[in-house]
Amino acid sequence: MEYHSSQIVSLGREKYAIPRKNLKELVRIPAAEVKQKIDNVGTSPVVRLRQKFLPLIDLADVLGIGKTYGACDEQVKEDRIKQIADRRSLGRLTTGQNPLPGDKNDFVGRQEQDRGTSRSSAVNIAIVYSDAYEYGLVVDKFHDSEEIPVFPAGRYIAPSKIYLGTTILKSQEAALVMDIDHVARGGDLSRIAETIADAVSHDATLRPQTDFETLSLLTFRNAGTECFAVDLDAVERLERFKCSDFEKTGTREFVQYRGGVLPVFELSQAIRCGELNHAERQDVIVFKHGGTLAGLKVRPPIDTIELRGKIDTSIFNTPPVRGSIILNDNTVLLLDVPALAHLIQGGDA
Amino acid sequence: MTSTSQEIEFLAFKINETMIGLDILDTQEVTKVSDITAVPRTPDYVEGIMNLRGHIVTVINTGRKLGLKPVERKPENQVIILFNEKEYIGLMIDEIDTVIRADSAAIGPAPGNLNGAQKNFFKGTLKTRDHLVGVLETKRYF
Repeated sequence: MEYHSSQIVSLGREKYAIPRKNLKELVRIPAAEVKQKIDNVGTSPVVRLRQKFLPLIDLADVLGIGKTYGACDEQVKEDRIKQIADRRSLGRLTTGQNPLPGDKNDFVGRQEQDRGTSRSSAVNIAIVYSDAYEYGLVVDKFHDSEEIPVFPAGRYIAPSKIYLGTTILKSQEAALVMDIDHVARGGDLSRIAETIADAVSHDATLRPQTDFETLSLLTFRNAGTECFAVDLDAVERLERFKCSDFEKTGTREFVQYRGGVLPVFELSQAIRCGELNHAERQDVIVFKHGGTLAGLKVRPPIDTIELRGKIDTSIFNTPPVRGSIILNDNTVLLLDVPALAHLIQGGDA
Repeated sequence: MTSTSQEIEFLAFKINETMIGLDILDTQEVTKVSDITAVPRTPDYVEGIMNLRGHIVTVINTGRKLGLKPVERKPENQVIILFNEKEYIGLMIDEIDTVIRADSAAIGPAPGNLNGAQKNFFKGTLKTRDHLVGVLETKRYF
Protein backbone atom coordinates (compact mmCIF):
# COMPACT_ATOMS: atom_id res chain seq x y z
CA MET A 1 0.00 0.00 0.00
CA GLU A 2 1.35 3.38 -1.01
CA TYR A 3 0.76 6.40 1.19
CA HIS A 4 0.79 9.86 -0.32
CA SER A 5 0.74 13.21 1.38
CA SER A 6 -2.13 14.93 -0.40
CA GLN A 7 -4.07 18.14 -0.51
CA ILE A 8 -7.81 17.58 -0.32
CA VAL A 9 -10.02 19.82 -2.45
CA SER A 10 -13.68 19.65 -3.30
CA LEU A 11 -15.96 20.25 -6.20
CA GLY A 12 -19.63 20.25 -5.43
CA ARG A 13 -20.01 17.69 -2.69
CA GLU A 14 -17.23 15.38 -3.72
CA LYS A 15 -13.70 15.56 -2.43
CA TYR A 16 -10.62 14.91 -4.52
CA ALA A 17 -7.00 14.43 -3.51
CA ILE A 18 -4.06 16.18 -5.19
CA PRO A 19 -0.68 14.59 -4.40
CA ARG A 20 1.45 17.12 -2.54
CA LYS A 21 4.42 16.34 -4.76
CA ASN A 22 2.46 18.01 -7.57
CA LEU A 23 1.32 20.96 -5.50
CA LYS A 24 3.09 24.29 -5.47
CA GLU A 25 0.65 26.45 -3.57
CA LEU A 26 -3.00 27.23 -2.96
CA VAL A 27 -4.23 30.57 -4.22
CA ARG A 28 -7.53 32.18 -3.41
CA ILE A 29 -8.48 35.05 -5.71
CA PRO A 30 -10.98 37.24 -3.82
CA ALA A 31 -14.14 38.10 -5.76
CA ALA A 32 -13.04 41.72 -6.11
CA GLU A 33 -9.77 40.72 -7.81
CA VAL A 34 -11.09 38.08 -10.18
CA LYS A 35 -11.47 40.52 -13.05
CA GLN A 36 -7.88 41.66 -12.69
CA LYS A 37 -6.23 38.34 -12.16
CA ILE A 38 -8.19 35.86 -14.25
CA ASP A 39 -8.54 36.41 -17.94
CA ASN A 40 -8.36 34.80 -21.32
CA VAL A 41 -5.36 34.70 -23.57
CA GLY A 42 -6.85 33.71 -26.87
CA THR A 43 -9.62 31.43 -25.73
CA SER A 44 -7.67 29.97 -22.83
CA PRO A 45 -8.28 31.08 -19.29
CA VAL A 46 -5.16 32.18 -17.43
CA VAL A 47 -4.35 33.52 -14.00
CA ARG A 48 -1.84 36.29 -13.46
CA LEU A 49 0.34 35.45 -10.54
CA ARG A 50 3.38 37.51 -9.61
CA GLN A 51 3.88 38.83 -13.14
CA LYS A 52 3.48 35.40 -14.65
CA PHE A 53 0.57 33.91 -16.56
CA LEU A 54 -0.39 30.39 -15.73
CA PRO A 55 -2.93 28.41 -17.73
CA LEU A 56 -6.05 27.48 -15.83
CA ILE A 57 -7.83 24.17 -16.00
CA ASP A 58 -11.21 23.89 -14.34
CA LEU A 59 -11.51 20.63 -12.46
CA ALA A 60 -15.21 20.67 -13.34
CA ASP A 61 -14.31 20.56 -17.04
CA VAL A 62 -11.80 17.79 -16.47
CA LEU A 63 -14.49 15.75 -14.78
CA GLY A 64 -17.21 16.77 -17.22
CA ILE A 65 -19.33 17.94 -14.34
CA GLY A 66 -22.26 20.19 -15.05
CA LYS A 67 -23.62 18.02 -17.82
CA THR A 68 -23.70 14.58 -16.34
CA TYR A 69 -23.03 15.08 -12.67
CA GLY A 70 -25.80 13.61 -10.59
CA ALA A 71 -24.38 13.45 -7.11
CA CYS A 72 -24.51 17.08 -6.06
CA ASP A 73 -27.67 18.82 -5.01
CA GLU A 74 -29.43 21.43 -7.10
CA GLN A 75 -28.04 24.42 -5.24
CA VAL A 76 -24.45 23.28 -5.56
CA LYS A 77 -25.02 22.50 -9.23
CA GLU A 78 -26.57 25.90 -9.91
CA ASP A 79 -23.72 27.66 -8.13
CA ARG A 80 -21.24 25.83 -10.30
CA ILE A 81 -23.01 26.58 -13.51
CA LYS A 82 -23.19 30.23 -12.52
CA GLN A 83 -19.51 30.30 -11.62
CA ILE A 84 -18.46 28.71 -14.87
CA ALA A 85 -20.67 31.14 -16.78
CA ASP A 86 -19.14 34.05 -14.88
CA ARG A 87 -15.71 32.88 -15.75
CA ARG A 88 -16.57 32.39 -19.40
CA SER A 89 -17.92 35.92 -19.67
CA LEU A 90 -14.61 37.47 -18.70
CA GLY A 91 -13.35 39.83 -21.36
CA ARG A 92 -10.51 39.03 -23.65
CA LEU A 93 -7.20 40.33 -22.51
CA THR A 94 -6.91 43.33 -24.79
CA THR A 95 -5.49 46.21 -22.82
CA GLY A 96 -2.72 46.58 -20.32
CA GLN A 97 -3.60 45.96 -16.75
CA ASN A 98 -2.34 47.10 -13.43
CA PRO A 99 -2.52 44.58 -10.64
CA LEU A 100 -3.37 47.25 -8.12
CA PRO A 101 -7.09 47.27 -7.33
CA GLY A 102 -9.07 50.37 -8.19
CA ASP A 103 -7.13 51.23 -11.28
CA LYS A 104 -9.18 52.94 -13.98
CA ASN A 105 -7.38 51.14 -16.75
CA ASP A 106 -9.64 48.19 -17.32
CA PHE A 107 -10.67 45.57 -19.83
CA VAL A 108 -12.62 46.31 -22.95
CA GLY A 109 -15.08 43.58 -22.07
CA ARG A 110 -15.88 45.25 -18.78
CA GLN A 111 -19.18 46.88 -19.69
CA GLU A 112 -20.53 43.67 -21.04
CA GLN A 113 -19.62 41.88 -17.83
CA ASP A 114 -21.23 44.51 -15.66
CA ARG A 115 -24.55 44.13 -17.40
CA GLY A 116 -24.98 40.77 -15.81
CA THR A 117 -24.84 40.04 -12.12
CA SER A 118 -21.49 40.87 -10.64
CA ARG A 119 -19.32 37.99 -9.60
CA SER A 120 -19.99 37.13 -6.00
CA SER A 121 -17.56 34.37 -5.23
CA ALA A 122 -13.82 34.02 -4.92
CA VAL A 123 -11.96 31.55 -7.13
CA ASN A 124 -9.83 28.88 -5.51
CA ILE A 125 -6.87 27.67 -7.52
CA ALA A 126 -4.43 24.90 -6.69
CA ILE A 127 -1.18 25.73 -8.47
CA VAL A 128 0.28 22.39 -9.54
CA TYR A 129 3.28 21.03 -11.41
CA SER A 130 2.78 18.37 -14.02
CA ASP A 131 5.75 16.64 -15.62
CA ALA A 132 6.00 19.43 -18.19
CA TYR A 133 3.93 22.40 -17.04
CA GLU A 134 2.88 24.48 -14.11
CA TYR A 135 -0.81 25.29 -14.15
CA GLY A 136 -3.73 26.31 -12.00
CA LEU A 137 -6.48 23.82 -11.23
CA VAL A 138 -9.72 25.60 -10.35
CA VAL A 139 -11.67 23.92 -7.55
CA ASP A 140 -14.57 24.89 -5.30
CA LYS A 141 -12.92 24.56 -1.91
CA PHE A 142 -9.67 23.73 -0.20
CA HIS A 143 -9.64 21.32 2.72
CA ASP A 144 -6.83 19.92 4.87
CA SER A 145 -3.85 18.03 3.65
CA GLU A 146 -3.84 14.38 4.66
CA GLU A 147 -1.58 11.38 4.59
CA ILE A 148 -3.73 8.97 2.57
CA PRO A 149 -3.47 5.40 1.29
CA VAL A 150 -3.62 5.24 -2.50
CA PHE A 151 -5.31 2.16 -3.94
CA PRO A 152 -4.79 1.38 -7.60
CA ALA A 153 -7.65 2.54 -9.83
CA GLY A 154 -9.73 -0.54 -10.60
CA ARG A 155 -10.75 -1.88 -13.98
CA TYR A 156 -13.69 0.49 -14.34
CA ILE A 157 -11.80 3.60 -13.23
CA ALA A 158 -8.33 3.13 -14.71
CA PRO A 159 -9.34 3.61 -18.38
CA SER A 160 -10.24 7.25 -17.77
CA LYS A 161 -6.56 7.92 -16.88
CA ILE A 162 -7.22 11.16 -15.00
CA TYR A 163 -7.15 9.29 -11.69
CA LEU A 164 -3.97 8.10 -10.04
CA GLY A 165 -6.10 5.87 -7.85
CA THR A 166 -8.68 5.83 -5.11
CA THR A 167 -8.39 6.50 -1.42
CA ILE A 168 -10.16 6.58 1.90
CA LEU A 169 -9.98 9.90 3.70
CA LYS A 170 -9.65 10.41 7.44
CA SER A 171 -13.38 11.09 7.45
CA GLN A 172 -13.82 7.54 6.05
CA GLU A 173 -15.20 8.87 2.77
CA ALA A 174 -14.06 7.16 -0.41
CA ALA A 175 -12.40 9.65 -2.74
CA LEU A 176 -10.47 9.89 -5.99
CA VAL A 177 -6.82 10.84 -6.32
CA MET A 178 -6.16 13.03 -9.38
CA ASP A 179 -3.34 12.31 -11.81
CA ILE A 180 -2.03 15.83 -12.33
CA ASP A 181 0.16 14.82 -15.31
CA HIS A 182 -2.76 13.31 -17.18
CA VAL A 183 -5.04 16.22 -16.39
CA ALA A 184 -2.40 18.50 -17.94
CA ARG A 185 -2.22 16.36 -21.07
CA GLY A 186 -5.96 16.67 -21.54
CA GLY A 187 -5.76 20.44 -21.13
CA ASP A 188 -3.64 21.06 -24.23
CA LEU A 189 -1.22 23.12 -22.19
CA SER A 190 1.54 23.26 -24.78
CA ARG A 191 -0.75 25.27 -27.08
CA ILE A 192 -1.81 27.55 -24.21
CA ALA A 193 1.80 28.13 -23.16
CA GLU A 194 2.65 29.14 -26.73
CA THR A 195 -0.34 31.47 -26.88
CA ILE A 196 0.71 33.12 -23.64
CA ALA A 197 4.32 33.55 -24.79
CA ASP A 198 3.04 34.98 -28.06
CA ALA A 199 0.67 37.43 -26.36
CA VAL A 200 3.41 38.62 -24.01
CA SER A 201 5.91 39.13 -26.83
CA HIS A 202 3.42 41.26 -28.78
CA ASP A 203 2.17 43.38 -25.95
CA ALA A 204 4.69 45.20 -23.80
CA THR A 205 2.09 46.04 -21.17
CA LEU A 206 1.84 42.36 -20.29
CA ARG A 207 5.49 42.18 -19.43
CA PRO A 208 6.80 42.93 -15.97
CA GLN A 209 7.98 46.52 -15.72
CA THR A 210 11.65 46.77 -15.07
CA ASP A 211 11.79 49.71 -12.72
CA PHE A 212 9.02 48.71 -10.40
CA GLU A 213 8.42 45.10 -9.74
CA THR A 214 5.62 43.32 -7.97
CA LEU A 215 7.06 41.76 -4.87
CA SER A 216 5.38 38.89 -3.09
CA LEU A 217 7.10 38.67 0.22
CA LEU A 218 6.94 36.84 3.47
CA THR A 219 7.91 39.24 6.24
CA PHE A 220 9.04 38.21 9.71
CA ARG A 221 10.95 39.42 12.73
CA ASN A 222 14.28 38.27 14.00
CA ALA A 223 15.58 39.43 17.40
CA GLY A 224 14.01 42.59 18.79
CA THR A 225 12.51 44.75 16.07
CA GLU A 226 14.69 43.48 13.23
CA CYS A 227 12.46 42.98 10.18
CA PHE A 228 13.30 40.72 7.28
CA ALA A 229 11.56 39.41 4.22
CA VAL A 230 12.04 36.60 1.72
CA ASP A 231 10.48 35.90 -1.66
CA LEU A 232 7.25 34.04 -1.05
CA ASP A 233 8.11 31.77 -3.97
CA ALA A 234 11.04 30.35 -2.04
CA VAL A 235 8.94 29.39 0.96
CA GLU A 236 7.79 25.83 1.15
CA ARG A 237 5.77 25.99 4.38
CA LEU A 238 5.46 27.65 7.74
CA GLU A 239 5.72 25.39 10.77
CA ARG A 240 5.58 25.84 14.50
CA PHE A 241 7.55 23.50 16.75
CA LYS A 242 7.71 23.03 20.49
CA CYS A 243 11.10 23.86 21.92
CA SER A 244 11.44 20.21 22.98
CA ASP A 245 11.20 19.15 19.30
CA PHE A 246 14.65 20.58 18.55
CA GLU A 247 17.62 18.24 18.70
CA LYS A 248 21.31 19.05 18.47
CA THR A 249 24.39 17.26 17.16
CA GLY A 250 27.49 19.37 17.56
CA THR A 251 26.57 22.77 16.22
CA ARG A 252 23.86 21.40 13.98
CA GLU A 253 20.29 21.74 15.05
CA PHE A 254 17.40 19.85 13.54
CA VAL A 255 13.83 18.63 14.02
CA GLN A 256 12.13 15.47 12.85
CA TYR A 257 9.89 16.48 10.03
CA ARG A 258 7.58 14.50 7.72
CA GLY A 259 9.45 11.29 8.30
CA GLY A 260 12.85 12.88 7.79
CA VAL A 261 15.19 15.38 9.36
CA LEU A 262 14.92 19.12 8.83
CA PRO A 263 18.10 21.09 9.52
CA VAL A 264 17.22 24.30 11.34
CA PHE A 265 19.23 27.45 11.73
CA GLU A 266 18.76 31.02 12.82
CA LEU A 267 19.66 34.15 10.97
CA SER A 268 22.48 35.12 13.30
CA GLN A 269 24.39 32.07 12.02
CA ALA A 270 24.46 33.57 8.54
CA ILE A 271 24.59 37.33 8.92
CA ARG A 272 25.41 39.82 11.59
CA CYS A 273 22.18 40.31 13.50
CA GLY A 274 20.63 39.65 16.90
CA GLU A 275 20.37 36.15 18.37
CA LEU A 276 16.92 34.78 19.15
CA ASN A 277 15.78 34.32 22.70
CA HIS A 278 14.49 30.97 23.84
CA ALA A 279 10.77 30.50 23.16
CA GLU A 280 8.28 27.77 24.11
CA ARG A 281 6.85 27.78 20.59
CA GLN A 282 9.22 28.38 17.73
CA ASP A 283 8.06 29.47 14.27
CA VAL A 284 10.11 28.03 11.43
CA ILE A 285 10.05 29.00 7.77
CA VAL A 286 10.75 25.92 5.66
CA PHE A 287 12.66 26.58 2.44
CA LYS A 288 13.39 24.31 -0.42
CA HIS A 289 16.78 24.71 -1.99
CA GLY A 290 18.38 22.34 -4.44
CA GLY A 291 15.94 19.58 -3.59
CA THR A 292 16.56 19.70 0.16
CA LEU A 293 14.60 21.43 2.87
CA ALA A 294 15.98 23.75 5.53
CA GLY A 295 14.27 25.64 8.33
CA LEU A 296 14.86 29.19 9.50
CA LYS A 297 13.81 30.12 13.02
CA VAL A 298 11.90 33.38 13.10
CA ARG A 299 9.68 35.46 15.35
CA PRO A 300 6.14 36.57 14.65
CA PRO A 301 4.43 38.54 13.29
CA ILE A 302 4.84 36.57 10.07
CA ASP A 303 2.93 38.06 7.20
CA THR A 304 2.62 37.84 3.45
CA ILE A 305 2.48 41.03 1.43
CA GLU A 306 2.25 41.88 -2.22
CA LEU A 307 3.47 45.28 -3.26
CA ARG A 308 4.74 47.16 -6.23
CA GLY A 309 7.92 49.01 -5.59
CA LYS A 310 11.59 49.34 -6.05
CA ILE A 311 14.13 47.56 -3.93
CA ASP A 312 16.73 49.93 -2.51
CA THR A 313 20.12 48.33 -3.05
CA SER A 314 22.25 51.36 -2.16
CA ILE A 315 22.97 50.53 1.47
CA PHE A 316 22.10 46.95 2.30
CA ASN A 317 23.50 44.91 -0.53
CA THR A 318 25.85 42.28 0.83
CA PRO A 319 24.55 38.77 0.07
CA PRO A 320 22.45 37.15 1.30
CA VAL A 321 20.84 40.58 1.82
CA ARG A 322 19.74 41.84 -1.59
CA GLY A 323 18.31 45.19 -0.58
CA SER A 324 15.79 46.94 1.58
CA ILE A 325 12.29 48.33 1.38
CA ILE A 326 10.32 50.57 3.70
CA LEU A 327 7.17 48.98 5.01
CA ASN A 328 4.91 50.68 7.56
CA ASP A 329 7.79 52.95 8.57
CA ASN A 330 10.03 49.96 9.21
CA THR A 331 13.10 49.12 7.20
CA VAL A 332 12.75 45.56 5.98
CA LEU A 333 15.81 43.72 4.70
CA LEU A 334 15.21 41.40 1.76
CA LEU A 335 17.02 38.09 1.95
CA ASP A 336 18.01 36.06 -1.06
CA VAL A 337 17.15 32.48 -0.21
CA PRO A 338 19.62 30.67 -2.51
CA ALA A 339 22.46 32.86 -1.17
CA LEU A 340 21.29 32.27 2.38
CA ALA A 341 21.09 28.51 1.84
CA HIS A 342 24.54 28.53 0.29
CA LEU A 343 25.99 30.31 3.33
CA ILE A 344 24.32 27.96 5.77
CA GLN A 345 25.19 24.79 3.89
CA GLY A 346 28.74 26.06 3.40
CA GLY A 347 29.00 26.74 7.09
CA ASP A 348 27.66 23.30 7.84
CA ALA A 349 30.19 21.37 5.84
CA MET B 1 -23.25 -28.65 -16.34
CA THR B 2 -21.53 -31.08 -14.04
CA SER B 3 -22.50 -34.72 -14.26
CA THR B 4 -22.47 -35.30 -10.51
CA SER B 5 -25.28 -33.25 -9.07
CA GLN B 6 -24.77 -31.12 -6.01
CA GLU B 7 -26.83 -28.53 -4.19
CA ILE B 8 -26.05 -24.92 -4.98
CA GLU B 9 -27.34 -21.83 -3.16
CA PHE B 10 -28.28 -18.79 -5.15
CA LEU B 11 -28.87 -15.23 -4.01
CA ALA B 12 -31.78 -14.03 -6.10
CA PHE B 13 -32.95 -10.49 -6.73
CA LYS B 14 -35.26 -8.76 -9.14
CA ILE B 15 -34.55 -5.96 -11.51
CA ASN B 16 -37.91 -4.78 -12.65
CA GLU B 17 -39.57 -8.18 -13.19
CA THR B 18 -36.45 -10.03 -14.20
CA MET B 19 -35.22 -12.55 -11.65
CA ILE B 20 -31.44 -12.81 -11.41
CA GLY B 21 -29.37 -15.18 -9.33
CA LEU B 22 -25.76 -15.47 -8.26
CA ASP B 23 -23.99 -18.53 -6.95
CA ILE B 24 -23.48 -17.69 -3.30
CA LEU B 25 -19.93 -19.01 -3.56
CA ASP B 26 -19.15 -16.29 -6.11
CA THR B 27 -20.00 -13.59 -3.59
CA GLN B 28 -18.21 -12.22 -0.53
CA GLU B 29 -21.10 -10.68 1.34
CA VAL B 30 -24.20 -8.57 0.98
CA THR B 31 -24.15 -5.16 2.60
CA LYS B 32 -26.31 -2.07 2.81
CA VAL B 33 -25.27 0.71 0.52
CA SER B 34 -23.25 3.40 2.30
CA ASP B 35 -22.07 6.78 1.01
CA ILE B 36 -21.12 6.42 -2.62
CA THR B 37 -18.63 8.82 -4.17
CA ALA B 38 -19.37 9.48 -7.83
CA VAL B 39 -16.58 8.76 -10.31
CA PRO B 40 -16.90 11.11 -13.28
CA ARG B 41 -15.56 10.04 -16.69
CA THR B 42 -16.47 6.40 -16.24
CA PRO B 43 -19.23 4.36 -17.95
CA ASP B 44 -22.76 5.29 -16.87
CA TYR B 45 -23.25 1.97 -15.05
CA VAL B 46 -20.43 2.85 -12.62
CA GLU B 47 -22.39 4.19 -9.68
CA GLY B 48 -19.25 5.22 -7.81
CA ILE B 49 -16.92 4.00 -5.08
CA MET B 50 -17.59 3.26 -1.45
CA ASN B 51 -15.59 2.41 1.64
CA LEU B 52 -16.21 -1.09 2.92
CA ARG B 53 -14.26 -1.40 6.16
CA GLY B 54 -11.15 0.17 4.70
CA HIS B 55 -11.45 -1.36 1.23
CA ILE B 56 -12.56 0.50 -1.87
CA VAL B 57 -15.53 -1.09 -3.62
CA THR B 58 -16.47 -0.02 -7.15
CA VAL B 59 -20.25 -0.02 -7.14
CA ILE B 60 -22.03 -1.03 -10.35
CA ASN B 61 -25.64 -0.21 -11.13
CA THR B 62 -26.60 -3.77 -11.94
CA GLY B 63 -29.72 -2.85 -13.90
CA ARG B 64 -27.82 -0.46 -16.12
CA LYS B 65 -24.91 -2.81 -16.65
CA LEU B 66 -27.22 -5.63 -17.76
CA GLY B 67 -29.20 -3.38 -20.07
CA LEU B 68 -32.31 -3.59 -17.87
CA LYS B 69 -34.04 -0.82 -15.94
CA PRO B 70 -31.48 1.13 -13.88
CA VAL B 71 -31.58 0.43 -10.14
CA GLU B 72 -32.83 3.56 -8.44
CA ARG B 73 -30.59 4.96 -5.68
CA LYS B 74 -32.17 4.89 -2.24
CA PRO B 75 -30.89 4.34 1.29
CA GLU B 76 -32.29 0.78 1.39
CA ASN B 77 -30.25 -0.41 -1.61
CA GLN B 78 -28.20 -3.51 -1.04
CA VAL B 79 -24.81 -4.21 -2.55
CA ILE B 80 -23.58 -7.70 -3.36
CA ILE B 81 -19.82 -7.71 -2.92
CA LEU B 82 -17.66 -9.71 -5.31
CA PHE B 83 -13.90 -10.07 -5.20
CA ASN B 84 -12.60 -10.30 -8.76
CA GLU B 85 -8.97 -10.19 -9.78
CA LYS B 86 -7.70 -8.36 -6.70
CA GLU B 87 -10.49 -5.81 -6.50
CA TYR B 88 -13.87 -5.46 -4.87
CA ILE B 89 -16.88 -4.94 -7.10
CA GLY B 90 -20.29 -4.17 -5.64
CA LEU B 91 -23.49 -4.97 -7.51
CA MET B 92 -26.08 -2.46 -6.40
CA ILE B 93 -29.60 -3.90 -6.31
CA ASP B 94 -32.91 -3.03 -4.63
CA GLU B 95 -32.72 -5.98 -2.27
CA ILE B 96 -32.10 -9.69 -2.10
CA ASP B 97 -35.45 -11.25 -2.85
CA THR B 98 -34.78 -14.81 -1.79
CA VAL B 99 -32.17 -17.51 -1.41
CA ILE B 100 -32.82 -20.44 -3.71
CA ARG B 101 -31.40 -23.90 -3.08
CA ALA B 102 -31.24 -25.96 -6.21
CA ASP B 103 -29.60 -29.03 -7.56
CA SER B 104 -26.87 -28.21 -10.06
CA ALA B 105 -28.66 -30.51 -12.50
CA ALA B 106 -31.58 -28.06 -12.50
CA ILE B 107 -29.50 -25.41 -14.24
CA GLY B 108 -30.19 -25.18 -17.91
CA PRO B 109 -28.32 -23.39 -20.66
CA ALA B 110 -28.08 -19.59 -20.67
CA PRO B 111 -31.24 -17.84 -21.77
CA GLY B 112 -31.28 -16.49 -25.30
CA ASN B 113 -32.64 -13.24 -24.05
CA LEU B 114 -33.82 -12.36 -20.57
CA ASN B 115 -36.19 -9.41 -20.90
CA GLY B 116 -33.61 -7.55 -22.93
CA ALA B 117 -30.58 -8.37 -20.78
CA GLN B 118 -27.61 -9.51 -22.81
CA LYS B 119 -27.18 -13.23 -23.06
CA ASN B 120 -23.44 -12.99 -22.39
CA PHE B 121 -23.90 -11.98 -18.79
CA PHE B 122 -25.52 -15.28 -17.87
CA LYS B 123 -24.02 -18.68 -17.46
CA GLY B 124 -27.26 -20.55 -17.10
CA THR B 125 -30.96 -20.58 -16.31
CA LEU B 126 -32.57 -21.92 -13.21
CA LYS B 127 -36.19 -22.97 -13.32
CA THR B 128 -38.02 -22.95 -10.01
CA ARG B 129 -41.70 -23.49 -9.34
CA ASP B 130 -42.38 -19.74 -9.46
CA HIS B 131 -39.59 -18.23 -11.47
CA LEU B 132 -37.17 -18.37 -14.29
CA VAL B 133 -33.86 -17.17 -12.87
CA GLY B 134 -30.94 -15.99 -14.96
CA VAL B 135 -27.71 -17.07 -13.26
CA LEU B 136 -25.03 -14.38 -13.58
CA GLU B 137 -21.57 -15.11 -14.83
CA THR B 138 -19.73 -12.91 -12.35
CA LYS B 139 -16.11 -13.59 -13.19
CA ARG B 140 -16.00 -12.59 -16.81
CA TYR B 141 -18.28 -9.59 -16.87
CA PHE B 142 -17.87 -7.79 -13.57
